[in-house]
This record gives sequence, C-alpha cells and structure tokens, in this order.
Amino acid sequence: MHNVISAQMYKCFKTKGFYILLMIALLSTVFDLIKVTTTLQSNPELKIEGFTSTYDALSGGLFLLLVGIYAALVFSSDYTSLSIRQIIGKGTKRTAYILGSLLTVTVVSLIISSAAYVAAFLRGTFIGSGTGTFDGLMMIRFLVVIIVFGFMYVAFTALIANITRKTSLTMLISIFTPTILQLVAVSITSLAKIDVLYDPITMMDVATSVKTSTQDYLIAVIIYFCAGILLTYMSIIVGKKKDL
Amino acid sequence: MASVLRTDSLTKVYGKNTVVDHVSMNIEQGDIYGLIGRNGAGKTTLMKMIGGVAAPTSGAYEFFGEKDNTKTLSRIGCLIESPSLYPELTVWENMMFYNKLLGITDKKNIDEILDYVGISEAKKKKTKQLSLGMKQRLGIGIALIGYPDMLILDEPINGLDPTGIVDIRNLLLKLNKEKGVTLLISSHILGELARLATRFGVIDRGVLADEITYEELLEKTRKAVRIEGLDPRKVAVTLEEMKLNDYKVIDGGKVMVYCDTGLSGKINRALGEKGMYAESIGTVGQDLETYFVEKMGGGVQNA
Ligand SMILES: Nc1ncnc2c1ncn2[C@@H]1O[C@H](COP(=O)(O)OP(=O)(O)OP(=O)(O)O)[C@@H](O)[C@H]1O
Ligand SMILES: [Mg+2]
Repeated sequence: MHNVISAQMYKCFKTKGFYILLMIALLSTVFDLIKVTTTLQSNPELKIEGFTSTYDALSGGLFLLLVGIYAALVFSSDYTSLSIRQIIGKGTKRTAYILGSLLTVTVVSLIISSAAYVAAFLRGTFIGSGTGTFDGLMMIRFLVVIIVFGFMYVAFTALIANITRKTSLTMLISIFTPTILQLVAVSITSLAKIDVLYDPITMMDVATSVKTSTQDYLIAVIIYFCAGILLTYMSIIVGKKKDL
Repeated sequence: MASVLRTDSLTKVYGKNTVVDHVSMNIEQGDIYGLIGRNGAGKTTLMKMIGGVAAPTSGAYEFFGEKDNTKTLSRIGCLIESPSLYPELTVWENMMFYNKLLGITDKKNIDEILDYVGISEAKKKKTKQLSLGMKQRLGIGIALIGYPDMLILDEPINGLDPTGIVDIRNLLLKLNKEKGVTLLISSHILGELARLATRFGVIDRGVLADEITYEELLEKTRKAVRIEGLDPRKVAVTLEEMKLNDYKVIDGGKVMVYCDTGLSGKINRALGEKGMYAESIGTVGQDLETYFVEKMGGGVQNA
C-alpha cells in the first residue's frame, strides 16, 4: 500500500488539476479576506470572533466542490485511462490500490482545502478590532471534522467512480449528492440536531459553532468516520468483483 | 524447455455467452506465441484473465508452475487493448509512476527502457501529444518496467503504419532474442503474426481450435508439386537436370518438389519426354491466409 500511496502522490503533484484547485482555494481566501475587511470598515460596530463569523456558505460549498472534483478526477482517471489494468496487472492488490488511493486523495484534498480554512480561522481570530482571541481547541475541533468529513466524502466519490467508471458522471453525482442530502434533511426534519447529523453542508456548524455541545460534536465525528469506513468497505467489495 | 504459462480449461462466461471456452494452452520459455482469431473471438478476454484483471468463470492457469498469481504478476508485463497512459503526465513521468508503484528506487531503468523502445527523444512530451506509434511503444515500455520474463501484448500493431509495424516487430524480436522474453501476442493481421511467432494458437468463438508450430505451419503452407506412381530415382534425375534440387520422397514413392507450383506442367512434360507418365501430378500447399481462415471458422477477415 505504501507504494500505491507514493505513486498516487507522485501523479497528483504532477497533474495540473491539483494546482488549479489549490489556486482556487487560495484565491477564495484572498477574496474572503477582502470581503471581511471591507465589511468591517463599513460596520465598525461588528465583532468577529473565532472562526464562526468569517465562515460562510460560499466557503462551505467550496470545500465540498474542491474535494468532490478532485476525488472524482483522480479516481475516475485511473479507469478512463485504463491505468487500473496496468496497476492491477503489475501485481498490486486491489484492496491496497483502493485504500492507498483513498488515503492519498484524502490527504491531498485536505491540503487543497485546509490552507483556506486555517487562513479563515486565523483571520477570524486576529482581524476585527482585536476582539477575537485565538481558540486552539476550537481550531482542532474544526480540523478533525474537516479530516473526517473529507475522508467520508472522498470514500463516497471513490465508490461512485468504482461503479460508474466515468469522470463526468462521478463528478456530477459527487457534487450534487450533498445538496440533495441537505434538501432531504431540511424537508424531513426541522430539529436542529438531526439536521446537523444528516446534512453534510450544515454539519460544518457543528465544528464551528461554540454552542454545539461536546457530545453532539463527538456524535457527528463518529458518524462521519463510520460512514467513511463503510463506504471504503463498499468500494473494496465493488472493486474486487469487477473485471477491468 | 520450461513452461512459462499453462492454462487448464480456462473459461469465461458473460451472461449467456461463453466467450472463452475451456482453453488449455502451454507456452514455453522463449516462445513467441501468436494468438489468432477474428473480431470477438475472445483473444482480449483470454489475455485479461491471464493478465490478472478479469476473473475466470472456471478453469485455472499457472505461470512458472505457480498457481497463485499474486506471486507471479510482477514477472509478467501486459499491454491489453490500448496503452494505459496518464495524458497529463510526460513519457518519463508515466514510467516513474509505475516505478514508484513497484517500489523501484533506482531511476536508471526508465531511460534504459525508453532508449530500448526508441522513444527517449520524446521523454519530456506529455503523452497526450504522442502519436499512436509512440503511445504503443510507451505502452510496451511500461509493460517492461520491472523487466518481466513474459510479455502479453494484445494487438500491439493495431493502427500502426507500415514502418511502425516493422519497428514494433523488430523491437519484439529484439526483446525475445536479447532479453529472452517470452511473448504472447494477439492479432488478426495474419501476415504480421506469421513473421513473428514461433507458435500459433487459433481461437474460434472462444475455443482454441488449433495449435501449430512455425515449422508445422511452413510445412502445411509450403508450395510443392507432388508426383505419384513413378520410380523416385528416375524422377530425381530429371529434376536435377531441371535444376530443381529441393525435393523429398515421402510415403514410399511420392515425390514432393518444393518449387513454384506453376512449374508442374513443365515437370510433367520433361518426364513425358523421357517416357515417364505419372499416375498423378498435382500441387499442394494452402496459402497462409486460407489455412488460418479455415481454422478461424471460415469467412474472410479483413484486418
Ligand atoms: N465485459 C463484457 N461483457 C460482456 N461481453 C463481453 C465483455 N467483454 C467482451 N465481451 C464479449 O466477448 C466476446 C469476445 O470479446 P473479446 O474482446 O475477447 O474479443 P477479441 O478476440 O479480443 O476481438 P477483437 O479482435 O475485436 O479485439 C465478444 O463477443 C464481446 O462482445
Ligand atoms: Mg481484442
């Protein structure tokens, strides 16, 4: 599996897609920064605390978009280029291939998105009349959710790529599923707690809201983690059976 | 000779179609095994199974006498249907990807192989910019990473122009001669395969219809004039006079003269002038195409 990770990492850093998405993430940070600064200038009475106030829907959606596109690109490209045949034909075990690729994509897409998030967090802490205080525990809470959620989302995309083996279809499904889930969550319940646990987009609130209890936070993390493991397992089952 | 690949009743069923039907074949070290069959005969499917990317419905195969393919796949190089390349990566980087996958830390082999397959000038090019022939060479190059003992190549000359075909043929012959690589090559271009292979397997609707060595093929497709019912020694004298030195006496008295079959009339007249009248004089030897087309289940195949 170590070899799979090393090969996939190599491919990722040699591919334009990685740098384009990284640029988008960084540009959005700059864009956010400008937006926050101008907002503060026009409303001096506004207070910005921690990460919460600077995090908005745009960056939440962007995180999903970046991870989804990236995972879809990487996983499906191995099928569309038929490289998967060569990889397996060289003696790589299928389980090692799936796990190794999953880990690589999770790590790389976290690199892409977390830069923007850490920047947003620090910005929320330090910019704004000096009212913010750096909350290390909050940042760790936030990062853990990003990692666990990122893993689950990548595993989901990997499964879709495994089934469809098509880039555009994988991308579409992986990008629109969170939105659909959000609609479903909103429509089946108005209870904040259930909403938070079932809906991938507003789940960010779990990490970022000071109001969320530690218990709810942990439940969310565990659910995302287990879902990630389950999706990975499904990928392995599907991937093992199929002829390439 | 040691067996490199042995398949035992290898079968693949897709839905209701038996695509590969109880194929048992044996490939020995140093062989260049040519797999011939029409479109849809099951060549690719057979290669996918032994290449470890499709599971057999039933039957088994072994490489180097070992049934567990996880132990042997690293000794096999495959190029099935078309080269698997990452279009964004350069030629060199595509090779490097597989080096990393196999845990090869010394990068020396990359330039060595690129040189060997003749695309080292293009090593900095992205593979999406390569011509078909260059892609095919890179595909073979990737298959060669790890220096396998056997190469499985599915239609390696598909889509190449005549010079490309000659180049790839020479490359494959070189690999076989210099590196002792055993080759399994599929094609439906008969003439090409005949120039390369030492053994042939004909596959017809999933069934291995015939297996034949190059020598046997030559024998079967060798053009000859057959003379029956005369004293072979006397016939020989006449043939020598006509400077036809390549002849053989078979089956107690029949004379086979290996020459242009158009000469049969001339031979007949020469014998007649000496008062020898053959019981029968005829020509034998199918051409290559007729021979294979018959084995492939009839019908003309255009490549
Ligand atoms: N995944 C699949 N599912 C169902 N049928 C398949 C599948 N792959 C191949 N077949 C069928 O199996 C048969 C053999 O296909 P295969 O690709 O092995 O033939 P081939 O000899 O390689 O032909 P060609 O010369 O055209 O490459 C065909 O009838 C094909 O339609
Ligand atoms: Mg084929």
